[in-house]
Amino acid sequence: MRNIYYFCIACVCALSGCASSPSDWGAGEVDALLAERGHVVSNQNAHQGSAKSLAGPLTLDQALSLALNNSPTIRAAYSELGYGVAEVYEGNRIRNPILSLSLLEPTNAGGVSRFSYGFLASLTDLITLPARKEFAEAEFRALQADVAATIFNVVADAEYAYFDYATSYHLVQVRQRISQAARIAATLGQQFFDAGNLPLKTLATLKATAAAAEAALHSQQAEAEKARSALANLLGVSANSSWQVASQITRPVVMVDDLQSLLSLTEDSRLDLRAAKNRLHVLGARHGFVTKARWLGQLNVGAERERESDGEKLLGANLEWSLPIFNQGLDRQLRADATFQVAEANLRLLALNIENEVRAQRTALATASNRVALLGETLIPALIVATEQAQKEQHYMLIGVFELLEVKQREYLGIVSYFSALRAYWLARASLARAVGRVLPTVEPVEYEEVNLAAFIQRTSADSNAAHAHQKHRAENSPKTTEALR
Amino acid sequence: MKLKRRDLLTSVGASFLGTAAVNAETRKETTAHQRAKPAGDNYVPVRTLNGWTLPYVMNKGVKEYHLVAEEIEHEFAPGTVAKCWGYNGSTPGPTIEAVEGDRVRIFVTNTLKEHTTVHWHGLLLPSGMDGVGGLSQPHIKPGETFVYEFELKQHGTCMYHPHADEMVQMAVGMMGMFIIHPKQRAKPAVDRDYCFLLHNWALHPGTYRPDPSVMVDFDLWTFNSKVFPAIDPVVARSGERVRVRVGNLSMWNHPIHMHGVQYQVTGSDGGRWPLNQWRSEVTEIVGVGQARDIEFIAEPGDWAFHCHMAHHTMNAMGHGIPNTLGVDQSKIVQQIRELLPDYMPMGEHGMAEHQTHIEHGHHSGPANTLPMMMGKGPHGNIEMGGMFTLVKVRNDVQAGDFSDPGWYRSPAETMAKAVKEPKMVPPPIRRADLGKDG
Repeated sequence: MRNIYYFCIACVCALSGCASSPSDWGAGEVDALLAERGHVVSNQNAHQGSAKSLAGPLTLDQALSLALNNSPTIRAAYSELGYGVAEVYEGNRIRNPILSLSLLEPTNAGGVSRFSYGFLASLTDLITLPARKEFAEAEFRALQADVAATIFNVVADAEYAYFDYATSYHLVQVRQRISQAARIAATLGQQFFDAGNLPLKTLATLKATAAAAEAALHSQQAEAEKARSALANLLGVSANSSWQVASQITRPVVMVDDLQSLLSLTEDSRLDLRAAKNRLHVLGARHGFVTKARWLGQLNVGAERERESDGEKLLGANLEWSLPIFNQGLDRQLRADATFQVAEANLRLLALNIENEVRAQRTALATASNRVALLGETLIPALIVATEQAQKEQHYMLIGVFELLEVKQREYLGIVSYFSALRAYWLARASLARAVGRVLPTVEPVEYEEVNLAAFIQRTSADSNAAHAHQKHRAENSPKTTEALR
Repeated sequence: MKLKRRDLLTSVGASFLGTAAVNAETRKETTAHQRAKPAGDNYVPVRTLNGWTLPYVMNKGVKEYHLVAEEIEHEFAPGTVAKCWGYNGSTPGPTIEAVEGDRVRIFVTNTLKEHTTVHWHGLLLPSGMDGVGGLSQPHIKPGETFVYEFELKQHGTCMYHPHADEMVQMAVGMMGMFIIHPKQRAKPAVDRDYCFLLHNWALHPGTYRPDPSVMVDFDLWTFNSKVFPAIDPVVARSGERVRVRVGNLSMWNHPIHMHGVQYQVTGSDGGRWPLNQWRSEVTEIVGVGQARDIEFIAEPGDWAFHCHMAHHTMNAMGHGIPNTLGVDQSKIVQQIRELLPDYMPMGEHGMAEHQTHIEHGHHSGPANTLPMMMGKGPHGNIEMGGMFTLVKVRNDVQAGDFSDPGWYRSPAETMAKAVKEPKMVPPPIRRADLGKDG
C-alpha cells in the first residue's frame, strides 16, 4: 500500500515537469510564414519609429519594414501568441492533485482524535493527456497562422495606405496647379475688367471657376491628410511628425499571372484559410475523441493516511468516478459535432469569399492597368499637344490668354485623371496581394519606371528661354535702330 | 509675228484629253508670265497681278481656249499653302483676254470629283451659254468636257466662276477674270492695264484646306489669291495712264483705296464709261459681284493700295479675343510662365509689337499660318497683310517692264522726320482748351 502511495506521488512529480514552452512564443515560425509570403521581418525589437528611420522620404519597402517592426497592431498580434502558448502549457499537463488534511477532535471526553491527510489526482486528465497535448499543439499552429495572417493583412493595409497617401499627395500638387491657373485667370480678369475690357459676367465666371478649383484643392488636401493619418496608424508613427513618402510612383507592372495561377497560389498562401483548415482538423479529431471518451466521465484517484490519537494508523487509496447513468456524455458529443459542422461551413464560406475576392481584385487590377495605359499613352499626350498648339495660337493672337489658361487647366485635369488611374492601379494591386495572401509574384524582377510628376506639370521649351531673351530685343529696338534703316 | 496654230499647240500643248498633259504644258507657258498679245489685236495686254493670261488657239477665226477645273496646291504667301480648286493650275484661273466682236470657243474639262459649270459673269450671250447648272445646261460631270461658244458683244471687265455648288467651288478658289477689249482703242489710251480679283478664304489656322461653310469670319483676304507681302506691286513709269480692273467675287464689299492720287472710276463689266460718267475718287467700294475699272496718272513714289476695311489688311487674327489694350500684365506674367513657359503678353499698348515678336523668331505659331501683320519697308515694319499691295512709280521704268524697282527714296525735304528741337513744336491745342464755344 505504501508503495502505491509513493508511486502516485512520483507520477505526479514526473508529469509536472514534462512540457516546455518556446522562448519566443512561436514568433519565429510566424516570421517564417511571413517570409514565405514575401515579407521579411528584420528585427522585432527594433526602434519605435526613430528619427533615423524617418529622416528621408520613405520608400514603399521602408514603410513596410517600419510597419512590421513598429506597428502596435502587429505588436498586439504577436502578443496573442502568448495565449496559445498558455493553451499548449495547459494541454501538456494534468490538473494539480488535491491535498486534503483533516483533524477531528472528539466532542466527548475520552474520545479519540483523528488526523488524516491525503491527495487526489485526476485520472481522466492522465488518460486524456496525449489527446489534449495533440489538440493544443495543433490549435497553436492554427493560432500562429492566424497571427501571421493578421500581420500580413496589416502590412497589406500599410501598402494600400502608402499608395493611397502617395498618390493623394501627388494629386494635391496637381490640384494646386489647377487652382493656381484658375486664380491667375481670375486676377487677370480683374485687370481686364478694371481696364474696361471685360464684361462683369465673364469676370464673375472666372472668379467662380477659381473658387471651385480652390475648393477642390481643399478637398484633396483633406483626403491626403486622412490618408496620411491612416498610414501613420499602420506604421506606428505620429501623423504630426515630419516624415514624408518618396515621390516615386511607378507605371503599372506587367501583369503576368493569370487567374488560375493566382487562385492556385491563393490556396497555398492564405494564412487564414490555412488556420481554418487546421482548426477544422483539430475539431474533427476532437470530435472523434469526445465520441470515444464520452463514457469516461470524471475519474479521480488518490491516497489517504489517517492517524488515530490512540496510535492506530490507516493508509489507503481511493477512487472517485462519476457514473454515466443519467448522462453518457452525449451533450459533449453533440456539441463537438455542431462545432465541427459550423467550422466546416465557415471554411467553405471563407474559401468561396477568397476565390471571389481574388477574381474581383484581379479584374479591378486589369481594368486599372488598361485605364492607366489609355490615359498615359493617349489622353495625356493629346492634352499636351492641345496646350502647345493653344500657346502657338496665343502667340499669333488667334486666341486670348483666358482660353489658353483654360486649355492648360484641362491638361492638368487630365493629369489628375491619370494619377487617379495610377492610384486605382496600385490600390488594386495591394488589394489583390491581400486577397492572394502573398506579395504578388512576377516572372521577371520588377523594374519600376518612375512617373515624374514634375515632368508633367512643369515643362520648359527652347522657345521659352528665347522668349525671355527677346525681352532684351524690345529694349534694343530703339529709334536709333530705326534710323539705321534709312 | 503671227503665232501659228501648230506653234501654239506645241508650246501650249492644248489637249481635250489628258488634263495632266494640259496642265504641264500650260504651267510651262505661265513661267513666261505674260505673253505678248497676238498681232492684230489692238490693245495693251492686261497684266494679272501674280497671275497669267490664258493663251488661245485660233481655229478658223474662232479663238479657242481650254479651261481645266482641277484641285491644286496654292501658296497664299511663303508659309501658307492650301489645297484649293482652280483652273489650269492656278487660283484664280488664268485671265481670258479677247476683243469685242471675237467669237470665242471655250472648252471646259472637269477633273474635279463633283460636277461643275462655268458662268461668264457680266457677259451678254445666249441663255444656253450662261453656265447655270441645271438651268442653262446640264452639269459638267467629272471627266467630261463641255464647250461654250459665243460672240463677244461688249467690252469691259468681266469674270468667270462656277455656277454649280457655287458656294463651295468659289470658296475654294474657282474664279477668273475675263477682259474684253474694245475693237478700237478708246481715248484716252491707257499705258498699263492691270487686273485682279478680290476674294476671301476661311483657311483656319493650322489647316490646309479652305472651309467653305464659313460665311463671315474669314481668315485670309486676297488680291488674286495672294496676301501681302506676296502680292505683286503695280509698277508704272511716272506720268503713265494706268488702269486697274478690280473684280469682286468675295463675300464682302471692299472699299478699294489708293494713296497718292485721285483716281477716276472709268468703267465696269459694262465697259469703259463715257468720259462724263467718270468719277474722281480715292476710295471706291467694289461690291460683291461687281467689277470696277480705276485709272490714274502715275505719280512717282511708293503708294499703298489696299482695301480700307482695316481687318481685311490683316492675315489671320482671333475674332472676339479679350481686349488687351490698357491691361498691364507685367506683375502677373511670371506666375503665368510657371504654368506656360512660352507665354508672352502682348497688346497692352496696341498690336504693332506683334510683328516684331514674330520676326525675332521667338514665338512659333500654328503650322501653315501667317502672322497677322507682315512686311518690311525701308523705314521699318509695314504691319500689314491681306488685301494690301503697293503702286511703285518711277521715272525710269521702261515700257513693258513690270519688275519690282525696289524701294522709293524720298528726297529728304519731302519726307516726314522726327523733330530734334522741342522748341520748334507749337503747344498743342485740345478741344477742352477752346471752351464750350470752341
